[in-house]
Amino acid sequence: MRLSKKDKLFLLSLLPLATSVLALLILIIFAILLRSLQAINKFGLELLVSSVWSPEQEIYGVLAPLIGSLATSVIATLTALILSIPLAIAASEYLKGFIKNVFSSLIELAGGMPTIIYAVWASEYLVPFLKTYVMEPLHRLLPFIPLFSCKPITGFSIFAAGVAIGISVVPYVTALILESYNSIPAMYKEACYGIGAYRHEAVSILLSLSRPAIVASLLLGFARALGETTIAVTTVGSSMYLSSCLFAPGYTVAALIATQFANANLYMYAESVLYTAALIVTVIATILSFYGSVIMVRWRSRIVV
Amino acid sequence: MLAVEIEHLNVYIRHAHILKNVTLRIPKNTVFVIMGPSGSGKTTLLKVINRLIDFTEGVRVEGVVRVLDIDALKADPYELRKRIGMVFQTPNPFPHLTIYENVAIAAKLNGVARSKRELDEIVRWALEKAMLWDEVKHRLHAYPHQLSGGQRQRLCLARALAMKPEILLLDEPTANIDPINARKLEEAIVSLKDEVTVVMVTHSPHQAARVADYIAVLYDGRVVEQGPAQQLFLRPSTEITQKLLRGEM
Ligand SMILES: Nc1ncnc2c1ncn2[C@@H]1O[C@H](COP(=O)(O)OP(=O)(O)OP(=O)(O)O)[C@@H](O)[C@H]1O
Ligand SMILES: [Mg+2]
Repeated sequence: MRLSKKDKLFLLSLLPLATSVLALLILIIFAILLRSLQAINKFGLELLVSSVWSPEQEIYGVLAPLIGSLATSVIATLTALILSIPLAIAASEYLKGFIKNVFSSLIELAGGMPTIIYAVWASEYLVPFLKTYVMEPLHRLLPFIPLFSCKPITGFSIFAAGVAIGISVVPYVTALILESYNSIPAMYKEACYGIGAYRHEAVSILLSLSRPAIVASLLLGFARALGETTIAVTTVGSSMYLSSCLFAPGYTVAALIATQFANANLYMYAESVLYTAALIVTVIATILSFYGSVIMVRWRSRIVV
Repeated sequence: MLAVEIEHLNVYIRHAHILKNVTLRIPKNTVFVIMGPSGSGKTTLLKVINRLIDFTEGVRVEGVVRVLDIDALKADPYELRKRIGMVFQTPNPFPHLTIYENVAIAAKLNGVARSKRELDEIVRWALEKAMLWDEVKHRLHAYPHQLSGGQRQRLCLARALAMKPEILLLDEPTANIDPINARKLEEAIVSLKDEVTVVMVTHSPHQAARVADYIAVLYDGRVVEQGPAQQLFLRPSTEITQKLLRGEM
């Protein structure tokens, strides 16, 4: 790509903004790191291999919330994958005119809704529903699989939190997939129909063409799910007990911070431990977002010849 | 026997009148060349034949279009397209598929091959016909972005051939190809006549002279002249044709 002098000037004028955003990110991570040092020096790896939250005795271990964050985000991403692709395809291929506009506005609306609404809805309706129609049947049918090995007691669990968070990131992931799907140059659509593809065949070719963009969208969705707090607090069950079973209550880092931060300054290390956990999650989320964006950009440059 | 028979075709895109009262007869197993200045409606005409025009927003098509003895405007466009291959003005191989897969997918979609061996044979046959085989036979599993523009265009021709179409629509297939390969492609096109009817858009009068059995001249959405190629070259009846065939337009 050749840039004119004006373009270069324009890009140059954006440079301070771009660098300051990057600087801010680094600054935030650095600030969190500073606050974590106290706990890291005191407890070291111990923090990452045990699951205890007992500030009165100053004993901490955030393994369970860390695993919980990752597990809920994986489930959330799978949920988003299952729901977002059909939504995106419906919006871009199968709906027309007025209905299409209503449908797109609804997705946008859902994306703009405050997460507290998802949180309340999920704990009131989604969790009981999942318990009766998903978790219990799975446990009955496949109890020998460790992930499904426990009977859901209340329903509030890693699994429920994952699905609930997943539903809340669906609008975001759908928008990302839709945007990339719609940005596929018309010539590839013509290529599909030009070789005699039926509509569903063309859609499947174009979807596989956009696979890197879908992966990138899911990585960005995963990063967002990692940080989701309100929904996690109301659905995850708040238990520091580490279980291999998805139907048992658990914790996520975001939920731990949300519920413990207010009182943390009463204790010596509690606050610093929370910062340590936050640091790990922030770093993971940042790396995934960055990687997702890189894949997206590379994909775009590949399909436009 | 006619492969395509078009009568009083009018195409509007929103409020623009793109093709005006076009009437054309394309005999089977011939090379039918469409010439005309840029913007005269050549691509649009090709897209009417295989109904790709359906995907243009705000389009309205009126008239009679008979393709392979069926009413193309009323027929199921998906079934119709299975009998018609097309090579586009800009090479558009699928970037996520390998060279082999790009050709194979066309055969697969149309149920042309019944086994892996047959598929391999068709891919090879199509690449040979498109004069690309020798250049890619050792890297069938490379991706098209490693090919030159001309090679990509020939890959697209191979993809179209792998459908085993009855009609082949070629929109300036040699625009990005060096003269030597363009010549090869022309030979290939002429040799295809036994199997398919070729409808080809070109800007080059020399190319038209070498491959065309019939020529139609489009100007501003109208057919100003059509007939056997020799007749047009020897006794062009309009000034537009004269200029076009002398390469002055
Ligand atoms: N999607 C579209 N929307 C609006 N106008 C269009 C569209 N596609 C084509 N046209 C118009 O239709 C006319 C004919 O276009 P067409 O692409 O058929 O020309 P062409 O003869 O193939 O030209 P070229 O030699 O440059 O490829 C042009 O004036 C063009 O602007
Ligand atoms: Mg054109």
